[in-house]
This record gives sequence, C-alpha cells and structure tokens, in this order.
Amino acid sequence: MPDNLIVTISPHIRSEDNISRMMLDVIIALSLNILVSICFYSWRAFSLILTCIVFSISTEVISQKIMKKKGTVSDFSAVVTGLLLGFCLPPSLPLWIAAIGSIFSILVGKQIFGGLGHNPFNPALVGRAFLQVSWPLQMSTWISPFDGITTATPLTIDKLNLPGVIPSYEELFLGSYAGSLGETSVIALLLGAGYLLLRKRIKLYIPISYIFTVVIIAAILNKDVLFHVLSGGLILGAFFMAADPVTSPLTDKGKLIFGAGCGLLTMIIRFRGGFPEGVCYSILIMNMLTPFIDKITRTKKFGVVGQTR
Amino acid sequence: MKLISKIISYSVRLTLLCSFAAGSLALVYMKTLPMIEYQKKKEEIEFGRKKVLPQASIFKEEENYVAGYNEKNEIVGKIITSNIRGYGGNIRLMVGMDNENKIIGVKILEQYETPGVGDQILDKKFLSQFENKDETDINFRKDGGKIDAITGATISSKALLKGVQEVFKYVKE
Amino acid sequence: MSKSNKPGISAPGTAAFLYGVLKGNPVLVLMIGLCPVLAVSTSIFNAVGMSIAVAFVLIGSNVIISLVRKRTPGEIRIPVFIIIISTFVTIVDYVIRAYSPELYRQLGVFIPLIVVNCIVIGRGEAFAYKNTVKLSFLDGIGTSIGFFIVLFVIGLLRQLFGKGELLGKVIFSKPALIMILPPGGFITIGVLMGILTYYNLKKSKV
Repeated sequence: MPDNLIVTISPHIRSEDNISRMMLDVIIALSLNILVSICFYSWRAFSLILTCIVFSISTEVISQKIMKKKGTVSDFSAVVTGLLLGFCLPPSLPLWIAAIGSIFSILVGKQIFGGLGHNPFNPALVGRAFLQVSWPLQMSTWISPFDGITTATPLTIDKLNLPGVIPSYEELFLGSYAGSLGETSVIALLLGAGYLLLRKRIKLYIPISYIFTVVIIAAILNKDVLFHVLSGGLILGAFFMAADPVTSPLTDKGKLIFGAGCGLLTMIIRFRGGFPEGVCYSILIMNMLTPFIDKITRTKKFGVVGQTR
Repeated sequence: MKLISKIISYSVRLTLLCSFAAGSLALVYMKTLPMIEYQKKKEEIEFGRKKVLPQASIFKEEENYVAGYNEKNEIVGKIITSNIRGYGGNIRLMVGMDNENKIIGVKILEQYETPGVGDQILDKKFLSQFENKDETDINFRKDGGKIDAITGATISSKALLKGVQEVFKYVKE
Repeated sequence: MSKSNKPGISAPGTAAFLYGVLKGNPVLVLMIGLCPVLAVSTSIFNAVGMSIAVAFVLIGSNVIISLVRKRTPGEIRIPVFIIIISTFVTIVDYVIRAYSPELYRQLGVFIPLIVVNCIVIGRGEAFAYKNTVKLSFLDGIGTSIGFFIVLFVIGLLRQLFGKGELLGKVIFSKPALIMILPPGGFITIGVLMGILTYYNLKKSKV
C-alpha cells in the first residue's frame, strides 16, 4: 500500500481515545439490538454474543502479545467485531464454531494485516464467510424466535419456493421471525443507526446508496421492494458493516459507488447466486475494490491539476 | 557454412535424444500394457456394477453372484451375470436386483449381434425398459408383459429377454 | 549444517542437498510448483503419491540433463529439457495407471502437468544444466524431499481439519470444510510460508 493512501478512520486519529469513543458509540447504538435479540432468543443470544466477544478480545490480546505489538484491546474494536459477528450468526450455532469464527475474524481479518486500520476486509464478515464455507450445515440452520423451532429464513423461503409463511411487514420490521441473531429487528437497528448519525459517526452516503440500489433493482425485477429492504442482513450490513470507514472508500463519490456496488452484488447473489442472502459476500467483494475505487475517484478529482503523487 | 553445420549438428543431437526417449518409452509401455489393460477391465466392471445397482457402494463377490452393500453395510441388492445364446453369439449380461427381486438395471457386457440390427439391444431406450420391473413384467407385451421388442431384431430381443428371465429363475433357487 | 558420514559427499554435496529442503525450498521459499500443491494436498494419500511422482521425474531429469549438458548447445536446451522431462513423466503416468488406479484417478490431469511443473524445469535449467551429475542428483533429492515435506504437512493439515479423519479413524466429527476447498489450501500454504520465512530470517540474523 502506498504511504500516501492513508487508510484510517476519519476524522483522523490523534490519540487512541477517539477510536475507543467511536467504538463505544457503536456499542451503544447496537445495545438496543442486543436487548431485542436476547428477547427473541434468550440464553442463546446471550451466550453466542458473549462467546464471540470473549474470543475476539482474547485473540487480540494473545496475538498482539505474540507479535510484540502494543495492546489495543482498550479501543474496543475487538468488542465491536465480536458483537457484529455474533449478530450475523444463526442463533442455534454451536458455541465452539462461533469461537473459532471469532478467532479467525480477529487473527486473519485484522491482526495479520497489521491491526486496526490496515485490514482490507471487514473482520466480522471475514469470520462469517469463513464459517459459512467451513460449516455450511450449521450456518444454514435457523430457528424461530421464542419457540426455537427450526425454520427457514424468509429469503430462503422466497428463493427456493418453500412451503412456509413469509412474515408480514410488521414482523419484518420488528424482527420476530427466523433469521440471524441481530439482523432481524429493523427498528432496533434503525434507531441505533440514528444514534450514530446524531453523534456524527457515520455518513449516510453508503447506507443510502446501498439501500437505494436494492430498491431500484427490486423494482425493476418486479419483486417486493419492501420485503427485500427489510429482510436479511441488509439494514445491519448497510449501516454498520459497509459503512465501516476502514474498509470503504474515503471520498463521498467513492462511497456512493461503493454502496451501489454492494446493492448490485447483493441482489445478484440473492437472485442468481447460490445463497439466499448476499449481504456478507457483496460487502467483502466491495471491500476488495475499495482501493481501486479510491484510486479512480481520486484521479477524477485531481487529474486536471496534473501529477497526483 | 557454419549455419548449416549448426543445423545438422542440432538435428542429429535432437534425433539421437528423441530416439533414446522413444525407445525407453516403448519399453515401459510394453511392460505396463498388460497391467493397464487389466485395470481398465476392472474399472469397466466396477462401472457396470455401479450402473446396474447404484444404491450400492461396496460390492462383495459371492459364489455365483455379487452382493451390493451400502455405506452402512446393509445389503441393498445383488448383481447376477448370465449368459444366453443370441443371434450371432453369446450375450453376456449383468442384472442388478434389489432385495425384493425387482430389477434395478441391466447392462450388456458382451454381444456379437448384427451391427445396426441386433446390437440395438445395447440401446439405452431398450434396456431401460427392464428397470423397475418384477418377474411378471418381464415378457413381451403380446405375452402379457411390459417389454417392447425391437422391430427387425426379434431374435436378439427375445434372447435378451430370455437372458433376464433366466436370471429370475436362478435367483429363485 | 549436518555432518554426512557417506564417503565421497563433500560440503558442496551436502549444501546442494540441504538447499532444496530449507533455504531453497521450492514451495515455501522459491514459490514454484504451487499449482499441484494446492490441488493435490487435500489428502495425505494424494500428497505422498504426487511427491513420489515428482521426485522420480525431478531426480531422473536432473541426472539426464546433467549427463548431456556438455553436448547440449544452449540454443536447443529447452526442447532437450522438455523431451527428457516428458519422457520421465510419461513413464510415471504408465506406472501409476498400471499399479495404482486409485492414485491415477485422484491425481488425474496433474500427472501430465508435472511436465510444466516449474520445479522440474526450474531445477533443470538453474542447476542440472550447469553442474555435475552427482551434484544434480543430490539437488534433485534435496528438492524432492523439500517438496515432499511441504506437501505432506499441508496434506496432513488439510485432511485432518478438512475431513476430520486420519488413517480411517474419525478425529473431528464436524470438520471445517473450508480446508479441503481452495481457500483452505491458500491459507495453509500462507501460514507455512510465514513460519518458514520467520525461521529463515531468524537464522540469518544470528
């Protein structure tokens, strides 16, 4: 990576306090969602989220000790990664799998690249993708909230034309249907996102362009627009994972392209890909393209002036 | 000229090398040929077995037939190879049956019927008629069964039918 | 450096031998011949079979190339290498097809691909063409052993964690499927490369 492409959190960090404060804000924003998920899945939610957080933190501590780097656990970024990973997972996932996923997220998703700020991919999604490929059976078993009966997610029912009831819009909004731990409750997530906006922690470019692209494509394909916006991990992904400043483009124009790309890929995977849900992989692929997007949006700005380096 | 002598020199060397290479290859080929043929035959039989009894993954050769077991080591059927006199010679066929003596598949291993006429018994469409049939079905339609003979190849079709009927007779013993 | 008790193998011999194992390990250091490594390391059986095949070709072609090096003008050396290597590969192909149809099925197209395996041509060009038969022989052995060790370790890891069984005994009932898929191969190779690089760096610092 060239030195003058500074991939750090904006605003630029002077001290670690700012990182931890931002992370704390994210945790606060997600706290309502945590409560809701415990409401839906009781002890399962609690133990799953706890496992992810505990193993994320431990992996960061241990790996930084081994690599003789300064411990950055106090910046809470590991906590956020663990939390987000927990939200992406099926509530009935065996805890040992979640633990391995958390270790992989932090180790391969973050530490190997040099720690926070240097990771090209969203660590939580790296972990989720790893788990999806390694234990596809366990990662595709879903249960309904409250009663814990094995059910299919709405997107799966839709894609495979399974016999089953697709939840109503109210249920989709509240989140009382089978899905990942923290992806289902749109209202809890939107409230959290609102908080982050108030605190000026995220910019709306990516979430808006992401969701907007999904809306447009759903409309073109004559599908239920609201259904596609509310179901799956879209809201969680758009506001909390795609918008992660480390792994998304710096410029506003870049962010719009990024969001649109995510939306496009998500819909392609949902309709033509092998999985019923495409949020995870689409964000990872766009993460890969971020340096490229940065390059082209930058050149468009400075090209007229002459040399950019 | 120097160029011509170079060309000649290189050609000679390469030719020599290639002769050595070709010679040693020919030697190895001759030595391994019988073994390779044997393996090929074995594979054909394995393949044939899988085709007539797809439910089985393990095959054990018993006295006069081959028993098929699935992964849980439960017996799922048997394979009987029988011979019958056809129009132009011996027809050797392999019949796979499940535990209720229902035919799963039929495969012809050897036949000498007239090309284009009698060898239509090799046709998938003809042989697939035998799939999923009980003993009572193994007769031509005019005799009350469910098998259609091949027009113009009556003798070969009859022979094959008889071959399958023989298998049932054998299984009864 | 280990001491060799065999008479007649001097220091350059041991050096040639050890180079292929550690400092010049084809897969982890020189990073050549990765294609079959990724494809074939999903089980120990395949890994061992492949390394034996490659060893035969590598040692054989190294020796022959070295034998004819004085009579092979530079302009025609590449065709000469190819002829020699492909002869050995074809021999290996016949032998495997005759005596281990299972291995033949598993390795499939990667047997003929040994011809273009960078390790074989690479060592032939870089070493056997310029050194004595004895040294080329030792280089072939060393590189083959280096290749074998890497392939065996990767095969072991991928089979153990990806299939969960070893020697027919189930060890992990719910293995991480990613290990027998390409990403698992890349990750494993990356980890091993990291470890060996770390080791080599440390050694050179001391």
